[in-house]
Amino acid sequence: MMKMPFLVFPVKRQSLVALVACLSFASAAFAGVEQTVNDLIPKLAAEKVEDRYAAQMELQGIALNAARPDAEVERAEVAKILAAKATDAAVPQPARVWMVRQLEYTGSGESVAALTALLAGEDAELKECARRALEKNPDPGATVSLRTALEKGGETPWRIGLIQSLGERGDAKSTAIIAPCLKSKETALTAASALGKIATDDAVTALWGAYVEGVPGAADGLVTAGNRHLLAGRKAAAKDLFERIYLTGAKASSNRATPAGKSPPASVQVRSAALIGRAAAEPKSARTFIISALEGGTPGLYSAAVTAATVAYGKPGASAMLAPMMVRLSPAAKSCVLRTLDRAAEKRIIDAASDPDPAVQSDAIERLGQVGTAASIPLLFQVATNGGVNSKAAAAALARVSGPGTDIAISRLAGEGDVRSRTVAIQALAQRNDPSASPALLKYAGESDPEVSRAACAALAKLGTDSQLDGLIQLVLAGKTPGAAAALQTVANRTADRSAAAQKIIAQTQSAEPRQLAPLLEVLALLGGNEALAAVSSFAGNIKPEVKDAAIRTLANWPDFSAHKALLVIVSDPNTQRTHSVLAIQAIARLVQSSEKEPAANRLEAAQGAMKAAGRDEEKKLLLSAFASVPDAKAAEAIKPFLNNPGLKNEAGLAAMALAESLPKGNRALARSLAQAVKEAGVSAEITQRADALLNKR
Amino acid sequence: MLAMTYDMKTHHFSRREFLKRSGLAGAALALPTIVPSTVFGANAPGNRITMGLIGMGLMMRSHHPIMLGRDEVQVLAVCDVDRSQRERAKAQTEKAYGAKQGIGAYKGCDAYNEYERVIERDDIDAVMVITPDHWHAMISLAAMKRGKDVYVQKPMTLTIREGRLMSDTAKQTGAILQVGSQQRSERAFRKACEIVRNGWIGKVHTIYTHLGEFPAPQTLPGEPVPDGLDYDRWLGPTPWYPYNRKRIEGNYGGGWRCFWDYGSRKNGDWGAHHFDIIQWALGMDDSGPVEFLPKGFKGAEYQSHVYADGTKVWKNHPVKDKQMIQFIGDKGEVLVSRGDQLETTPAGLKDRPLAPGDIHLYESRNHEGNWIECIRTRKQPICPAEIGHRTATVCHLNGIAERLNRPIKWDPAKEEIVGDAEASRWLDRPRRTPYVI
Repeated sequence: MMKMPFLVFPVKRQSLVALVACLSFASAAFAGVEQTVNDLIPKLAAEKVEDRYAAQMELQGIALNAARPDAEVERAEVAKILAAKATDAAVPQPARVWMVRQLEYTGSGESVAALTALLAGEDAELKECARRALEKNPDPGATVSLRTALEKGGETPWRIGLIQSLGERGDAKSTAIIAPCLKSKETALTAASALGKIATDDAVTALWGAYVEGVPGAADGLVTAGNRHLLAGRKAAAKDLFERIYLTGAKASSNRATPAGKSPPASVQVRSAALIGRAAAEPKSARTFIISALEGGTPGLYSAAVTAATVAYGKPGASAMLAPMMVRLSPAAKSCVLRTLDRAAEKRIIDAASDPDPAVQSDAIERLGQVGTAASIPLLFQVATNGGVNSKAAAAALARVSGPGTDIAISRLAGEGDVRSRTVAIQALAQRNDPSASPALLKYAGESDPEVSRAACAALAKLGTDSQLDGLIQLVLAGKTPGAAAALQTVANRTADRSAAAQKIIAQTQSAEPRQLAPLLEVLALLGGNEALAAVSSFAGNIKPEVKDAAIRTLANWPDFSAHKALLVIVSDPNTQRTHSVLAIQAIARLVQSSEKEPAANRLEAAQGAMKAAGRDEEKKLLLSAFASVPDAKAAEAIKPFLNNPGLKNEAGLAAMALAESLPKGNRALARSLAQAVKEAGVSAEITQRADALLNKR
Repeated sequence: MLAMTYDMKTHHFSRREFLKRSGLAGAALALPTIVPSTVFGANAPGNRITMGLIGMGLMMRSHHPIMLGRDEVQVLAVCDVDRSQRERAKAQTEKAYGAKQGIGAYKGCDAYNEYERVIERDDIDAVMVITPDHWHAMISLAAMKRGKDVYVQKPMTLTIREGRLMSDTAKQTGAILQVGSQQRSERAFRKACEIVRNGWIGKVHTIYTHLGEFPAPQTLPGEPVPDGLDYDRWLGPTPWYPYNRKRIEGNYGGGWRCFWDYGSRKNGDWGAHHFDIIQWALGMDDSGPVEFLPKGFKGAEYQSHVYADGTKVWKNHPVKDKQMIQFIGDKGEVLVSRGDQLETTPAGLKDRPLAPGDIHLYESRNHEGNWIECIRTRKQPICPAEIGHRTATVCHLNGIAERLNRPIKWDPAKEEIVGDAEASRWLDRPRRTPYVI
């Protein structure tokens, strides 16, 4: 964009001398702008259309920058230059169009004459651009030009544009010209819209006439007029208009007398708008209309009535007004009202939850979840435990009710009553995420009833902290609480001090019965760390078969590579059972493959140790895959011998190629030697093809 | 298709009211199993929500199959200004329903060039408006006034004044309007907003979001208008330009989205998603920022906008870990992206459940599903017109500041630009005749 010195021109200088100097400077600067515009004109009309863009942006930059705040002199001068060029027939049309488009957002009084001239011109594109520019022009002269153009008439689309522009400008004097356009099918909608925006008495009268005759858009135009009244603060006019639309639009069969009995019924959308507008215009007297809409037989108006009440009285006021009406409303109206009732109307909502209509029940329960307090708990509790269609919703609401006494009330319910009730209350405590409930939950978890115990364990899994670890360990050791182990796992996994948690468990493992030991060892695996690993490893050599089995299975599921040494001890022991050996080898293969951050030497050592002990081809295949995951020459050496093993050569070939293909570029020689070995082994056509592909790579 | 003519005309017991009550009754009653449950259930043919799809281009290609797969929806009409698009969509619709019903030659989907033909049909309950931005308001307004519910793509509007009109019209007509800012229906974004709204990261002072950049718009030479394309209607209310394929193509990397005439470029494209989430997180769904600063203002490397409490949102500032939005508070941070990605500092915040007294935000797990559900229940959807308008306002004001290359001060209560009369002219755009609102 061109840099212009006047952009920083100080327009409010007090000094006369400075002012004169500035004006002289400005005059020179504007001459510079005109020259820039002249220079841009050929580029704006460049033969190669793509080349016009840069010039367009430069001109746009000049115009928009000139129209910044506190630069009125500059804006007017630039607009004047653009207006003059836009009407100059010697300027190519694409350049003129672009200039008029700048005037759309920057032109004012200085541009009106030029735009008016274009409005009467022959060039359709320039004409249309000028109309839009005049529509946005703040000078009153623009309105006169548009009105005059409409008076002259023209093709229908042209007149539609002019009507739209005059409507946007709210030109009262155009009413007489626009009103007849309501009678034409082509222009009726636009005329109705424009007259609605103009919203004078005459415009409204014309719209009423059209409405009675069923002209499309007339009703919408009346609503627009009402909204304009509201926006302009003409509340009395808005009230009268909206009220008339609402009543007139009612069906003839309505029990309310209508002032214009012959009028066609308005759509429910128009009546809704009128009802809301009426309430906004005069809240004091809106009550009657709101009540009659809610008590009437038009469900489409119920929602509007509730919105009208909110608009008129605010949310608390609407709730206070509508709540007492609930009992006498239809189910559909009740549902609408329920959505707006607040905590002060809780009693009414509770009553609605016992409504014969299932939709009302459902809406009431949902609302209680949003605004309910301790007062709602008995009802929600009863619904949540009755096994009905709303039980789930009531349980969800129990998790949300808030305010003084709610937690205490639900805690009390968790400790007393029948099993089902207690279970629901315990579940609610969990959903409410109240950690203070944990001690009580631990107590319930140890109870003999399986449902209560299961629910309490599940709740502890959600809420339990380090404080409940000891208690949960004791429950696991007692062996009478099936859900305790899972809860212990989840709570332990959340702990910030894993070592301390592991120590607590390790301290209890020595006295644990073999059957209860397994879950504790699983938790140790989850916690990890050297102490936990040592403790579990020590049990792997236990003489009790159940203990040994639990420890080896735990080690086989150990989450990190640190278990590989203990696993190697197991696989190297000739007395290890076949099952345990297989589990340990599988675990080593898994850990080698997944421990990419471990040094390659350690991974290879583990895999080689396992391979030595592996008796079956199944495990050897797994270990070949493990070797393939270690990008190292020794892994290649470990795989190669198996290329000639009839039972394993296919897996060895696949492993060798996987390794060769994954080796970094620096190991190209190794990759090629592996591929060569695979090719020579003649494992299979497919694998040989892969080897060839690698060997043929440059 | 629809046997509720009487109801539609009298409004004594509207079709939608019937839909709502029948759906609930279906849930409450155990029906005999002699006939298929769908005959009497919420998805029985007479109970389905009948739909017209408008704008069958790129974006509709994700919505269309979803609607065809929903048993509670029946697509009765498709509409596009490109004959090949609408005929393809009609064939796809009829093929899908034919396969579903086990009949080879299903006929029951009409294809229109003009959206007015869809909207004037009394047997259509709802429309999806998945057109370029410059058509959103015009079609949605006409639909709502005709008693239709509307799903409209984001950003909801082309101009701020259109948004105010749409929001007011939705309120006054009671239409269920859902704006397609579907990140509101993703768990991670909701959770991120709940973390911010409940003050778990303290007072949020800085937000980074990455929207990306489109290529610059171009001045394009004219090409012959393809057979079957109603190009004048494609342009609609926007200024006339000669046809060029690049101008109208749907393209996530640009296409029509590059041009200011049809939107607010990236501000309106990704901004309608990420600015929307920021508005939600800050509790600004009925308000907005107070100042918009273009890139380069006082040497700023990035475009930004500022809320009244000083919270500043930076567009295209690098976001940690290449996430989509980063909220920085005085006690922690939230990073959130699509694909359920949520990271927090402190780390435990992302898993911290809400307590009963905490702010619970509207929960929706499926954006289109939420709209359909709300059509039945007549409850407000997760992203209604007022929210869509306020978000689009943020998008458009960023665009205006960018185009004018100067700061814009905004009064979100009065919805007025402060102290810049020329900038205020951008609050709406004059429309090309005969396309008028």
